Amino acid sequence: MRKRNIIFASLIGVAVLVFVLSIVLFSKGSDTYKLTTIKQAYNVLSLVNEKDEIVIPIYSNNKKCDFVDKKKVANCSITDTLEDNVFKLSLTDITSSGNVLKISGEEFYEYEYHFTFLGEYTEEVRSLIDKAYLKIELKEKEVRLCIGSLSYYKVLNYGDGINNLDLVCLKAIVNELDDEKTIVGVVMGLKNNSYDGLTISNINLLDVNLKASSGEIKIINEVPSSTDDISALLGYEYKVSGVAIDNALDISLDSYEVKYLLVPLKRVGDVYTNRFGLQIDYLINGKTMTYYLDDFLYFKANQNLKLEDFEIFTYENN
Amino acid sequence: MRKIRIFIILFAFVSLLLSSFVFFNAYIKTGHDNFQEITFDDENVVLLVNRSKDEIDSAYKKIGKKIFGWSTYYFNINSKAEYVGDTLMSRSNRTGEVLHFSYKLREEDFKTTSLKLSAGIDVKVTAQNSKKTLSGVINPSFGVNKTNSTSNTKEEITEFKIDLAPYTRVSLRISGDCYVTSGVSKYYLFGIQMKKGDWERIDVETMYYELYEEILER
Repeated sequence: MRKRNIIFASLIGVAVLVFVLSIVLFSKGSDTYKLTTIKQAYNVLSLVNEKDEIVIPIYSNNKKCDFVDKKKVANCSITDTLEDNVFKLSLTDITSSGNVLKISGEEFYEYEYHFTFLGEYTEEVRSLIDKAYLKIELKEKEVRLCIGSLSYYKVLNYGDGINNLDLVCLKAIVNELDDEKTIVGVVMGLKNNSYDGLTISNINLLDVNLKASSGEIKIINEVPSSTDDISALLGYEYKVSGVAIDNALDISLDSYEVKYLLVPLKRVGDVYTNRFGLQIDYLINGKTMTYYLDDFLYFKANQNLKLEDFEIFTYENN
Repeated sequence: MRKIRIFIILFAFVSLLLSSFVFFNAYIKTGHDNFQEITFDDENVVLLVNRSKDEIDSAYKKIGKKIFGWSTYYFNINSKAEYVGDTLMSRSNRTGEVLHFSYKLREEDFKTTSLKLSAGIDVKVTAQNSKKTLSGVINPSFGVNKTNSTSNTKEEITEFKIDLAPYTRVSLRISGDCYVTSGVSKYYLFGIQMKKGDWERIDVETMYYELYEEILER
């Protein structure tokens, strides 16, 4: 009878131990987790005295990973491949968006990392990183994820404040290349808003992935549809890949004259982009002035993400 | 005094009549909020709003009977079209000074899916990916009696600053490609028809944004 009691007690003890161990293991979550990002073109244009914020979505297959715990994050920065350019960031928040991304049947949960740029500037800055990495240092490890590109511009002012040059029309020409809708050109209407003549000397797109082929800019009489073929509009076979013809511009606008320009674009970076700002330099009364448009969303399409676009990193959970 | 009262009552009555006339005549050309114009690639396809009563009635007769559930006849499935959407933003400067303003566009300002249902039915049409064929076809959804509904999931925000010259108006309009599916459906319970109605769904494929400025008269 006593022997039976001992066996019974031992069995209960083993059952309790198994139960406790399973609770401990379950609460700790799995030992590893995977992280990935969708590569995007991150563009910033602001005044030198303005604070900049950036939100970067990161996807994890494990909701209980240490990486989503703000308290465990020590330092954050955006760098280029060789870490020659480093933008120090302050992590202000980590939020779960509730979006789920499925990669090869596996669910990845979206977390939005909210950062503030820490640098202070007194002069204009122009920093272009075609392959940008987000580096997050936790107490025991470091995570480095390619987030796409960063085009970072700090300017002293957004223009002359007099409004000599006016943008009266802005839209994109979007063509389907390799089954993907791609921005191949920009149509802009420019108006001289002054009593004096002015000359457009430079058009710059504020995104490292695209370049205006200034030598191929065409003055047009009618504003085309966004889906018109760029080659048909230019009158010759145009390829969005390749080298931009980087000629100095000399487009004159008489007093209160409006001209519509078709600006063909060259894709010089790898990151898909559908929004970017503009910088237009012009000469008036012997002075060079600049017009800025800080951000514009040109189009949006339901694009399918390709599996090869994802780099998935596996980390130990602590 | 009495004359003034009569005049006020008459004025109010006429105003009411006029406003109801305007209200009843204010209809959307496409039958869908946010869509001003829709042009199909295939000229033979038309919007539900442009189909005649006879056409819709004869479509009802083509619906196969069922013991339980919805049965549908489609006029068109995922027919490609181009649309012109609403003006998302319009700002005027009627002063003599340059106006500096900042504009924030949220994607929720324009819905990427629009569903038009006739009052007789309350259904959920499954056609999320425009390039895929319809799956699930038409699912009954009892409880909430919606006649028109829209949905949107992903959001993209754009914010830009712009200088507006004196006596000008700047506007942001939207256009693009979409896929349109429409049909008529009947709901059966033990082989008896319980509900019927026509419906149309628009799935937006692309959105092109256009900023343009106009001169205002002084």
